[in-house]
Amino acid sequence: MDYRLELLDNSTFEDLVNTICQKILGTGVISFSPGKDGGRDGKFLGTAQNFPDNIKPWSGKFIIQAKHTNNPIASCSDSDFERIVKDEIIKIKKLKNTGDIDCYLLFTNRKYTGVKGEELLKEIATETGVKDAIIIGKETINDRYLNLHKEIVRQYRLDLHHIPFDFSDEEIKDIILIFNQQLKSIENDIKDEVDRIKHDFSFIDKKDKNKKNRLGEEYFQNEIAAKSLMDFEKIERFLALPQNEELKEYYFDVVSELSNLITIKRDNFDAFEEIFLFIYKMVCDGSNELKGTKRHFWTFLHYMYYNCEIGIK
Amino acid sequence: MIRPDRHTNPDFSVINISALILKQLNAFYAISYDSLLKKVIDALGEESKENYPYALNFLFLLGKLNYQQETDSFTLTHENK
Repeated sequence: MDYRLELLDNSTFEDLVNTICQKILGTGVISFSPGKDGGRDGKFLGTAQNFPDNIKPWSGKFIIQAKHTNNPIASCSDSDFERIVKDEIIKIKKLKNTGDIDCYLLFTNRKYTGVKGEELLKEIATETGVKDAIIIGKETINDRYLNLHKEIVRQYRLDLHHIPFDFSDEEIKDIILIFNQQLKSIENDIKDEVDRIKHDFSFIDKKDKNKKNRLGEEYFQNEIAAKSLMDFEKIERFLALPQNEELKEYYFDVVSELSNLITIKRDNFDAFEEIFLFIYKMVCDGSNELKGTKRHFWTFLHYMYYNCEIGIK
Repeated sequence: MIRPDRHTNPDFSVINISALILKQLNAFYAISYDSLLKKVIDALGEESKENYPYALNFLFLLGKLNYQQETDSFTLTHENK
């Protein structure tokens, strides 16, 4: 089960990690407040209750670090994570020199890829001398810790992100208005583009569309089909209601702006899913109103793509 | 408003409601505003209420409807009977 950890903020993810560590190491886990923490989000002193197993648990001075991303398709193979690990190695070396570390746990909500992950761990052990080190990716967090500790899921309300939620009309309206506010106001020469999109009734097969737009099959299946598709009918019904005519006009303006933006910026990106992330950051980073509804934002972008309103046809 | 777009539901469109109004006025000599509205809602659902006045305006502009102020009712114009 995927608990959509990318929808949390950094601080909440750190708290979540420390809570998980209380279960697997012991109740003596100490959290560090935000600020200069010398490479530590949490620490534990003693013998782990149940880590990595209860036969030969690790013991000593544990340092816990949490590295969060809001990219749902981020992986430990990405170059930015490699840079993060290199920075961590510097901090671990300092802690090792002062005798403040025996075991190192790095939690991240990125996908843990076996080959690269092992390579990075080897680098940590070789460079720092800390042999008991581990990188824990989102699969382990979701499947081994959260699924077995539902009280943590409830405590952090992670089930709200996962279960098919009621995507209310009010929320659909808010998303369209916020989209509209965050993108610059439409210029006259784009009005023709708005008209073209409004009255273009053609669609293409999704496999062809994904190929033309370089959208990954994995992303399409795991994110669009598995998570967003169930809400598309709701958006469609909302836009079809005569009383939402004005909002529908805003929606077409937004679609036209995004379509234009994607055309301009397309060569800056490889996979189309990177564009979704770019747009998400561009709109959501500037908006406080979206705090509770960021998950809907992805649904909307996916709807526009699926409906052949953005992307090449 | 009149020209459908890719998100228009044809059932609630001005064109479809206008067609229904014409059908009703062909069956009855005169129908009051409220009765006609009820017939439209019964046939198409509550959502059609929004475009009902626009459909009436559309037919009026095309010269298809007469409005009788004293009885608040509609009839077809002579050439459309």
